[in-house]
Amino acid sequence: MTTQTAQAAQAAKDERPLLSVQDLKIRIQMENGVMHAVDGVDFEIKKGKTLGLVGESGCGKSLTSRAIIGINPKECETTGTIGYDSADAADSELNLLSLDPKGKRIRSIRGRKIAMIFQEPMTAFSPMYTIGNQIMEAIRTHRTKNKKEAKKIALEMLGKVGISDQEKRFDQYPHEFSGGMRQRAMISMALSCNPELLIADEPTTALDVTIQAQVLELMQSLQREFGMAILLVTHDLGIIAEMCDEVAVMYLGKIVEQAPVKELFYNPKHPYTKGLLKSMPRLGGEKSVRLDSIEGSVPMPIDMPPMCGFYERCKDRIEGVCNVNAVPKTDISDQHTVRCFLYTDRPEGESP
Amino acid sequence: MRTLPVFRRSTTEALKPEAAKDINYSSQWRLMYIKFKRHKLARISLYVLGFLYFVALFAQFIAPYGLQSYDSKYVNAPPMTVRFIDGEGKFHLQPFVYELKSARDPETMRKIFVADTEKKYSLQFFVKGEEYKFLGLIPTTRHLFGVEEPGRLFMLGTDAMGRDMFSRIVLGSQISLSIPLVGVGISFVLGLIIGGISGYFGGWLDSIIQRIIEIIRSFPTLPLWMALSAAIPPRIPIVTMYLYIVIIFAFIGWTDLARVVRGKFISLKNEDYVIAAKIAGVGNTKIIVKHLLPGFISYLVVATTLAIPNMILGETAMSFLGLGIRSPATSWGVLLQEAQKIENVALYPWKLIPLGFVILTVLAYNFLGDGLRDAADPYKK
Amino acid sequence: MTKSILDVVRLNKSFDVKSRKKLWAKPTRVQVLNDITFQLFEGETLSIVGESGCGKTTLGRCIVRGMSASSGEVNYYASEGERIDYLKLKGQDAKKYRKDIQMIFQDPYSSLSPRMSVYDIIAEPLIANFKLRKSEIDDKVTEIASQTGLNVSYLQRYPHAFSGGQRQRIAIARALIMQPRLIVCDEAVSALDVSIQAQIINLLKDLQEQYQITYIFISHDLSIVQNISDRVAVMHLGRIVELASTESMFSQPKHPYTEALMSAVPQPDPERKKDRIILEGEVPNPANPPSGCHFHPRCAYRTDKCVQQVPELREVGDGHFAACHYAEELNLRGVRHEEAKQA
Repeated sequence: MTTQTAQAAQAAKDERPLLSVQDLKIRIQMENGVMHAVDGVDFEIKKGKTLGLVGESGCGKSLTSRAIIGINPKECETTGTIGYDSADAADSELNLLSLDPKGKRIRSIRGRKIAMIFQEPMTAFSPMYTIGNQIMEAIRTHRTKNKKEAKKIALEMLGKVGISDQEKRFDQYPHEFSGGMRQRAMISMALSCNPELLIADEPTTALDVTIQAQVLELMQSLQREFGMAILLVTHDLGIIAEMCDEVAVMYLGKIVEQAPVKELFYNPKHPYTKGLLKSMPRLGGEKSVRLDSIEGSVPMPIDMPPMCGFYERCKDRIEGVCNVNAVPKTDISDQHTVRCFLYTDRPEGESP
Repeated sequence: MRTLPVFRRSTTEALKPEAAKDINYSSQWRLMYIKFKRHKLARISLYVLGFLYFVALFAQFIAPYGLQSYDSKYVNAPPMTVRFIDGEGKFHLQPFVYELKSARDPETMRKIFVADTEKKYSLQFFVKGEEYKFLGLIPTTRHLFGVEEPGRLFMLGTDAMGRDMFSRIVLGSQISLSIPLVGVGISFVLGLIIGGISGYFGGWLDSIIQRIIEIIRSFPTLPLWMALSAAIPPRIPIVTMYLYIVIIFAFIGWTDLARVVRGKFISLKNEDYVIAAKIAGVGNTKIIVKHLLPGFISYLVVATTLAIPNMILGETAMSFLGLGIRSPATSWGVLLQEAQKIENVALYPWKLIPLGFVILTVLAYNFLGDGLRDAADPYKK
Repeated sequence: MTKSILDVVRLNKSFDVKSRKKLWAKPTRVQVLNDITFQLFEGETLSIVGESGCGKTTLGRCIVRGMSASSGEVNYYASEGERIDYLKLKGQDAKKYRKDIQMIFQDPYSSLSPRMSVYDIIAEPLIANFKLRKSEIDDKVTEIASQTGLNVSYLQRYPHAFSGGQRQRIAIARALIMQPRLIVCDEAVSALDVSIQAQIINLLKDLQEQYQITYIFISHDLSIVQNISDRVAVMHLGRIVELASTESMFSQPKHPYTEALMSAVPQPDPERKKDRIILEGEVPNPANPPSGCHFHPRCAYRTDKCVQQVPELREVGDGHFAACHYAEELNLRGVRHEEAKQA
């Protein structure tokens, strides 16, 4: 009986998401008003799954991802909750946002439980120390104080990310690495402490396609091996399609549509998502087809009235509705949500 | 085929700016001004410097006494106190000073000055004093303020020859504040030309110029000053001496600026918009004038501003060591010569006051330079 | 379509790079462009694709003379058909013909002088080349601006007031005002957001249709290249390794590198079978290129011949050129033409 309840409790715990972000808002005071850079974002990441956060530059996707580990600049006024539920009892049911961003607690989670990789790997490494030294440093702060053991783990990790000749590479400086190699070294540093969640902010944008393919493949195989969850921030829908289980599309600080990956690509609902998918040229598509572009450009979210941020550019806008009301979240199915007035009265959500 | 927007003739109207104040219509200089304005310390410094240069410009008028005027009765007199309330506690609307009376310290038997409460002189504006030429042109005897003869006014005390320190500081600022400006001005021109040649033509010319700059910069400055000032004949008119000193400074100062110019020239030369202009068929001279110069002139202004404090300190140091400006001309460095002896500093601390002006000016220039540096690239976010 | 507008013949560009390790060491010569030869037809769009460091940007700049080539010729056929040695143009001739070839740059932030108003930027080439009255310049500038989709009432603004997409429109307007016959687009859309990319690509296509402009479209993005170009040239380490019509190239590539490039592009299609070819190793260092075929260290089909002999670019099919010893024998995978699954 007791074992059964324990098992049930364990099962319930497994069901709980690893990370659940609720009503995250980031405001930045600008010279000409308050910028609502992130405006009420909710999402969850389940253990071992990949969530893609996709959007154009300035949509707030990077700020959102950085808020999770509290590395946004001071000017960002952040509210909401970021619930984190580690398998480790000490860190279960934690609100990351309530922690002091410079405190000990968040630092023990940052790097150890939640790791992050960036677009430009050069900034992640100090040019003054060897790559090996820096990976070892990360391992020694979080995993083991023993120098020999740390070096062993570091070498093993370098091997795992496909860096050959690790002994030699270990003693090289960041500038001696090529771009792809540096990115892999950063991944190895991020994964050296077996994190539960990896935040990847445009991890391959600075890389060539062939190298990008290598890095994506690497991330997938490492995910299979370590079972970590990934939050993948990118502007590239192609990468989203290949990597993610679930996708959240961001526009102007809001998640406008969220769905499992296939649902999103084959049954997009929000006019912005549709527009994005149509405006992308595809390999293997017809040559010289005129692309369906989204007209206009992204406005600045400064002192916005309660309205749909996409209103100005939207082909299906309803005047008097979309530009005067805040858009509520509508469920299309139990996993597919959208923020658009076209679907507020239509629970079935067939396209108008 | 999709039709393109049709061109209407009336659109020329639209070319007139709708709002001059709109940041979208702001040129480089306006953006820089906006950014500079936000730097409080730099703004205050600018006012301070403006005030100092204003004083220097009208020094003869502002100083109560001339450079040569001395009174052996008042040797090493301390600064006088300007009072409103006399010994009986009566308030006077017009400020006044008491005459100084020499006395002996009963303990150390040292000569000291005490205020003679019997003799009171009111401070007056536009009093008659020594004759001078206002702005070097109009002969006049009026000074901004002072006391009636035979009274004496020593706001900041006197030196070992009984000369008024305040007047000497004010008059000395003319040289101390102008030498760096002229010196930097010459360096600016030299740096712009030589650095520009070096950056634009490149190749062996660039190598030669760079090596020369390195050689000049590797000279230790102090012996270089000594050598150069030894070359100045001992008895020459003040103006000539002044020129020599300026040239010595410019000779060393241009190297820094030339490097800034060269570096910016090279980096701008490869900017996409410069290449675009080249492809569009814009001539070389025009590219330099329209694209390159506006691109780095702001950096050059910053480098120049930050070079001035060095020159002020250099001039002070040289004059202090007796290598620069010599009597009868006066600069802050010359005034500080008296502070070389430790007993002077201990007994007559007001002789260090010129130092305060040097520090104030150098700080103001540095803050100003900081503010300009922040403003120099208004496009950086 | 068969009228040539540009003939690039054995174009070479090399840099001397000084070694930092040894003081007196001889500088190493880096061959950025290696015997680039191709023909460009009037009115077509030729794309040049490749990874960073392959020399595609250098090639573009050498053609417009933004950079000087080490050797080789660029023959330009002017509108009356006369052949002009473009790289050796001087004086009046240079003035006359150089306006025919213009360029659009990748980064719309660095390609526009921040110190000039948009009007001045667009008018600059006009003023430099023609003597026009102010009203004529006004007319031209506003006409071009409205054609490129710029709001003419914003022309007195400075570039910092514009977003990336609008800046790129300004750059296009500047190139267009000279009425060029050929525009070199160097990664003209890769710095832009997806939704803006489509706008600019459409604009470029419209302008081509209207003015019969020829494009050299330099890009690393194969999806865009397939959409916009008539022919494609693939560059690898300073050499053209494959050159063919878009259809032929994408349905049946003849060079293993092209195949790998195509398969590496992530597709916005979650059900696509993920059978990417993952190349091993890194892009080789151009200062120290591999022997023989530069691609051999990463090639799955390599033989000893590839290590020793440099393959020449030769015609292996109708207008299909490839520089691979086994171009005819290999059966390489292109991009399947699937029906786009869209809602």
